[in-house]
Amino acid sequence: MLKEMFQNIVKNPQAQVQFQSGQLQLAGMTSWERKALMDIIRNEKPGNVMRTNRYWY
Amino acid sequence: MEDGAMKLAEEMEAQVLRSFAEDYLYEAALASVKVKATESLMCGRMTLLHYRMFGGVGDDIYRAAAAVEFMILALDIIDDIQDDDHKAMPWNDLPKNIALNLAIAFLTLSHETLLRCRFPSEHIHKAAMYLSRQVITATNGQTLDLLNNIATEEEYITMVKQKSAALLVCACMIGVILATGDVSPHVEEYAMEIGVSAQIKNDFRDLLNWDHKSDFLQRKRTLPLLFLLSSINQEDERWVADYFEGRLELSDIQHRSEEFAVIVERTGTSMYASFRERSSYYHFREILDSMGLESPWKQALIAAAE
Repeated sequence: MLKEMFQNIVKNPQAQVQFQSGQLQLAGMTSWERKALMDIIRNEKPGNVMRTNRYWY
Repeated sequence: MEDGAMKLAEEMEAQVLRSFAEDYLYEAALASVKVKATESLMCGRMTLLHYRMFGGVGDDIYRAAAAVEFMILALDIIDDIQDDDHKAMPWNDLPKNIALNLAIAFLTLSHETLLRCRFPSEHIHKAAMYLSRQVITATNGQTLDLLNNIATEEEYITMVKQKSAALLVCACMIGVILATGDVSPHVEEYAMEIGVSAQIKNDFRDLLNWDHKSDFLQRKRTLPLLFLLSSINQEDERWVADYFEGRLELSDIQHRSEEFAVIVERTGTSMYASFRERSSYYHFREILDSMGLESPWKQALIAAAE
């Protein structure tokens, strides 16, 4: 189901536009899956992460 | 090397020094630990981080983190024996029967090291039970991986959750248990997502790396490969399925790595793998955000999980 939704979106430029503008609602897709899909469509990398080497405690 | 990394590596070497009486095995153990110390020590770091996140103080946690790393090292050695992989590792210079002996020693040392930590005995007991349970879970997942007969993405996710993700959950939870005396369902859930995300990323990388370890050449069923096989619909892509299903031999296709990379892109496999990996990552972030943790710990966890 998720795979088919993904394939339908990425092969359909109009659906991508509708998805980005919020016009296209994907029933059954979680909030984190929608966020990931938005990244893919926009060709973005995850989040603004404050990178640090200091993670020893 | 950071202070904390150095402390963890020193603790591991100290445990090796007190445990291996036979020179041959001692040298092999020390070389293995030194190699491990040059890697990320991700799991030991997660134990440390979660201990601090949940209010733990003092340096005894470094011994517990060393215990976690010994467990990971043991399973890494066993995995390499099973896969006949990672030729550059010192344990691959050993005869297989000795390498297996070494793995048994590290796995047992892991438990002993944890039991010798100076925490409340009920915390130690719970942590040791949890570690044992997660290692057993990981062997179940490893069995599925070795059988290589998963047919669906859901089966792949189940296998990954039992195999590699379970070990990351273990590392995080040991820190939580030693700090609080109890498990955290939130940590269990998000650590699982971090583990799944990392495994998908690794599996996609291994799909394209034909020089070293190629899941495709080994006909290994992973999420990216399952998607690729289900997406092939052009005549010039059929050789991919023919090879995977045994109708072609390695010699027929081993010169076609660039063509393979093009097919991976054209079918959307790289995008899909990235989508699934990021989905798990964002799920981890949502769970973490819901916990209301103070900023330094949250950012440290995000950095460690990247």
